[in-house]
Amino acid sequence: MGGSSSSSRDEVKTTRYAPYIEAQHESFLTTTMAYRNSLINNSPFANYNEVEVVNAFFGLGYVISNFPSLYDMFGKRMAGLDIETIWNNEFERALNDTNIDTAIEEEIKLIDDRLVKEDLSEYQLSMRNLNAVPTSSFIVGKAVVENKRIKLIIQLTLDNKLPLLSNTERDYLTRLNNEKSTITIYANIMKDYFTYINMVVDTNTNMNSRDSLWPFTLFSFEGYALGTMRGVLSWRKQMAKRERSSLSTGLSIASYTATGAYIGAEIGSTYPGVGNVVGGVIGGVVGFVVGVAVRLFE
Amino acid sequence: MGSSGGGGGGDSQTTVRYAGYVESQHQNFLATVMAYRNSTIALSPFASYTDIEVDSAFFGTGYLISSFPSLYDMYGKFMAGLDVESLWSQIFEGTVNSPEVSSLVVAEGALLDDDIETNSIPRLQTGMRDINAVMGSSYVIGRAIIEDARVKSIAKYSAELKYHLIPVASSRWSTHLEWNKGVVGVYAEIMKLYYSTKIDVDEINYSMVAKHRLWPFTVLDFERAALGALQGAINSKTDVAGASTASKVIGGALSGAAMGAMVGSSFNTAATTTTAASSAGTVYGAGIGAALGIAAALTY
Repeated sequence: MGGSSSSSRDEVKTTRYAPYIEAQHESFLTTTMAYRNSLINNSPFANYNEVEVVNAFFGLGYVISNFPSLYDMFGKRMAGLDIETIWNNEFERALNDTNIDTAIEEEIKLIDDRLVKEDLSEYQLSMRNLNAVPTSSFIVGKAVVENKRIKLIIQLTLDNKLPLLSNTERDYLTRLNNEKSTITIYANIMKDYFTYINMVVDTNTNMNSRDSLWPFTLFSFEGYALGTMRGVLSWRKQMAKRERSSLSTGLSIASYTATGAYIGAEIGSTYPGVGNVVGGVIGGVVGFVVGVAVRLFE
Repeated sequence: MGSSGGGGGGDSQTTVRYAGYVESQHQNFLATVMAYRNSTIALSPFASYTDIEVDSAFFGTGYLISSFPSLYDMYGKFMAGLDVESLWSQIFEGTVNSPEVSSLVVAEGALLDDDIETNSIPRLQTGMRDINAVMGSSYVIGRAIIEDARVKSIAKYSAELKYHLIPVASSRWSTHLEWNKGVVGVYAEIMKLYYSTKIDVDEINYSMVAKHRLWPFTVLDFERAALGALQGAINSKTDVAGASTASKVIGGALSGAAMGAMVGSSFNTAATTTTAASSAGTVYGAGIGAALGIAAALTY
């Protein structure tokens, strides 16, 4: 296993092994060095192309600061939005639309046709038969017919315009929801950007550093080879697989369950007869199953 | 390859030697490692890293979170300090007696006048002329009857329009309150997203700076291991000194915020007051989901 030689004060200890072991070790080291030499300039990470995120999100030559800030958008679209003006605009647009007046005018023409050709003619004939045309009753009668016509017109206008109030309300809500969606979508896009930029930066720099450290990764193997007779044999180079703790597993499943319950409640509320509670329970069960399944496949 | 001092009667040296082929190989190995150390130590792959910027994305260039109203301020302005009675009166007036409604009534009156002048009066006059009664009192009465119809019609139009606008005003009031709640809710969500993002991005920015500064030691650590290879000092790690828990955090806070932001995006149409409760549930659901997501990631 080894030998030693000594003088009066100094001592030299030489670690030796059986000749066949040393011969094998020497051959092993030579082979290791040969492979190291052939691989050292052949990093598998050398050709790594960095993943690009910024161009995908903002376009070539643009960065996030070229676009309105989230708080700016929030100020314009929500906090500083004059919703009274929006209502007035929607009201004007719905009730003052010229197409509505045109439709009413066309309806009035039909009424006039019936009034002049049928009602008024019949009235005049009847008055003539009574020999009452020259009387005041005939004049008043004609005025009454016109009176009735005017009231009919206004009723017709009301019948056409009043239902539009519900449209105005609906459009008003749609507009407000659109303003809010604009903000929440913008926030989600920004969240996605930061999520991916962090991940991608982490990955890109990791690949670059692995490329730079590639020779040393090989040297580590060679070092093991050199010291293998000293019992430092350990070839495992990859990181140990990260395992989720029991607490994290429980919380993760609970998170899926809560999310499922929320989505279920939202969907359920849109269906009459289902409701928030039933939808929430169904969603919660589905979320729980999904959470368990995800953990099993993790 | 190793030495130790000791001895009773004076200084003595103990030299640990290895077989010639091992020493030769180790010497060659160290020379190679040193050469690569020299070529690598000044070339940190983190040198060109540019910090990810968060504040300008959220607040605009040159602005900070303190440049904007605080969350409590917004809450006070849009919810706690809101005079709902005054808001009701204002919205009622703005809906039922608004200039737009008055204009609508005036416009309708003008249209009706035009119609009367164009159709009703000529038809009445034609009849009167036929019987030679234009100068008679009956003609005046006839005109008065038409005028009466006009006045009553406009009044009916105005009254019915305003009557139908009363529930609309109530609905608008409800919508306004819900909108205000949405404004505060979204403001809180945005702020939550900012802090989650800021924490994650700071983590990775500082981690990169640390990795860059520790790069020489990362390289030297391999050389240290090479020097002690025969003593079992070989390093099995392949990561870079200064690495943080960034990936863990990335999967944690930001994805937690993601859930919160996603949930927060579902604004209920507020005109129908029945949806107000579900909106509150939305907020609570969002908070619970987000908190659980963050906790699950942090305890990973």
